[in-house]
Amino acid sequence: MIPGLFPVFALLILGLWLIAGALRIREATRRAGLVLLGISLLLFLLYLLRLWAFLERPPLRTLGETRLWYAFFLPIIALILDLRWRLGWFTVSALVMAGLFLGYDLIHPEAFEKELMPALMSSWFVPHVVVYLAGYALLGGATLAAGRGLHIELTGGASRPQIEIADRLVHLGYAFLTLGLLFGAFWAKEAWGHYWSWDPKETWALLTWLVYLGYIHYRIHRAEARLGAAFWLVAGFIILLVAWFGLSALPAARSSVHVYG
Amino acid sequence: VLKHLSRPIPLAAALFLFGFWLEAIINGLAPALRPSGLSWPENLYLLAILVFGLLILRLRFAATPLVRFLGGIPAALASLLLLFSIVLLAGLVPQHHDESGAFFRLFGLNRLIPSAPFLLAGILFLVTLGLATLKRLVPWRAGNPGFLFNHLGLWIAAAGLFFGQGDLSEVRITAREGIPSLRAEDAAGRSAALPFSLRLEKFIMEEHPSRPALYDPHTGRFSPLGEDGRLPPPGDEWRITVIEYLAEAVADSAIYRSESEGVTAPAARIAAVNARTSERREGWISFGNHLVPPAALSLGRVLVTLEEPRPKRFASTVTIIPREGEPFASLIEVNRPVSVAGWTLYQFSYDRSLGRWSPVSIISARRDPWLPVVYAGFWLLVAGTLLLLREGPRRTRAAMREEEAR
Repeated sequence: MIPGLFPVFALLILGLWLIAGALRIREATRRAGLVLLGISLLLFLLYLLRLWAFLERPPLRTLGETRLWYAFFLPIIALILDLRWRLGWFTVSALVMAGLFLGYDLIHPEAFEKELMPALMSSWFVPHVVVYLAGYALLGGATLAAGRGLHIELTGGASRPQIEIADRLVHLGYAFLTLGLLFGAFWAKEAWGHYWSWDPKETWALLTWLVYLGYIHYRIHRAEARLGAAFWLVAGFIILLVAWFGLSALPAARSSVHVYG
Repeated sequence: VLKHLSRPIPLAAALFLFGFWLEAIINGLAPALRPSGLSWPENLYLLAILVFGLLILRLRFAATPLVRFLGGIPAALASLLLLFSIVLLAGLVPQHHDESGAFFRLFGLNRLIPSAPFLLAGILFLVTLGLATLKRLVPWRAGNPGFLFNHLGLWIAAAGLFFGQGDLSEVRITAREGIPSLRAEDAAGRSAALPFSLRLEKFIMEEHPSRPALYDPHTGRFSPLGEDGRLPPPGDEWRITVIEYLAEAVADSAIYRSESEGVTAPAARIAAVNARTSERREGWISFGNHLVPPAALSLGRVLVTLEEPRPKRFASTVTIIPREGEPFASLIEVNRPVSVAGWTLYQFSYDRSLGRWSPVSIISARRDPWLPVVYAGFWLLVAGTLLLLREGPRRTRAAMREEEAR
């Protein structure tokens, strides 16, 4: 992150999201909330481009930088869904989740490194990571929808619309996950000589992919089982988070080439 | 979830337990029987038998309850669940770890891939996915291209991975500048013959500029300067400015000077100012290397020196001399491998003690005859995924329901 500028930027965005979320909750000010959200995302994009120029490399190398992209993608998904289906609860929970990721980066600023190691200098680097983060954001959105559905089901309601939205997001998220996995395989072949080496990151990426592949089949198998679907998505997101952040804490992953500082 | 998976769970659980029981028997009684990768041509025969068997099942026994079940979604879920469980174990238990306890070793938990349960999971995966694909393929129908591409692509890639694993070869060539390397060694140190030899012209390592850092002689650790030039604790009352940076320098009595030939190392002349006492010190620092001596600036209890340079680029210029054909010059670089006579050459390592002055480059040569098969599957899967995005969730699910009903 750009020293000095990042805290200012992050606090500005968090403030804008707070106001946008508060406006969005009330139907009367929905439009104003979404416009403000749109403006905040434009600012976010400008910051990402500025960061890219400052670092002289794609800002996709460290976990902190990936959190930044996640915090960017998730509200975009919310904005699109909200414009189409009027999903205030989704927008607000997406802003809370994105705010947590951005806030984490604010509290734990990382030393910025301009250098890329030779293995990362590949044209696969940007597509592999961006596609993955877009997939993660979509699946994070699916988890928010599932959480809402779970709450409704457990309090005696019917969560059909929420699970329907979760299904759509999983569908897109799974497609992005598949592309990310395959781009990673093509890249690994060029960089390390084999497209699959059971590196712990690969193992956990495969687990994440299997969870959502299983979910899609489960939804055909038991279309009416909304509670089961909601549980599945919440558990699946835990696997996803382990694959993303948990590797450095796993004894099985000490030797991973994917553990980043 | 559990009661909704009344058929998939028992099937996956039974195969899971059977697989580990088999693994324990093999490891306990006859470790020599441990499955190893199949190699040419047995793997091709087995693959042909699998394809033939699946076709027979589809053409002659499609209506039987077993074949209907195996080609359907409950069996797909069982197969995904079984694979997930074994891969999850492989993601939790350290793999290829020789100090694992007796329990882990008996059940093969420290080397799950491949293992008996993993092979069972692979077979169930190929059978269920294969039958689901054949439902769509035989008899041939138009429609649902996304379904076809995704299932067929995944099956081809999985079959290529499963059956082709044993035909992978990797050898390492230790190439020395100017000397043709005829020998290569595999991971076990056995020498291997290659259809070409390779002469290293030059090993190239470019480095990023080094930065001043606090050096702790007790731990041997380097901590970089802060943005404002302030040293990290315990040196945080000092601010460092670089007066002069020499990317390529040699030591000349107490100073360093630029030198364009021979072995050089980065060096810098820095000034340190104490924020509390305003004391100022100046001096030369360098990380040094095997010929250039290192230097540090002492600031009371702490030392400042240059960090070890970080690599920016690894490459080797080589001349490849094929057994048949003309020699040719080539550049092997990280992320830019070179193919020759069925082998692909990768920049792998160098003599780390000499860093960028290494006269040795270690090249990894790989051969994977099944790669075109696996990649055909991967690209079908890419196409299927793009179709998935185009068709959208509603039509994708309609297609899956339609195929499931067959």
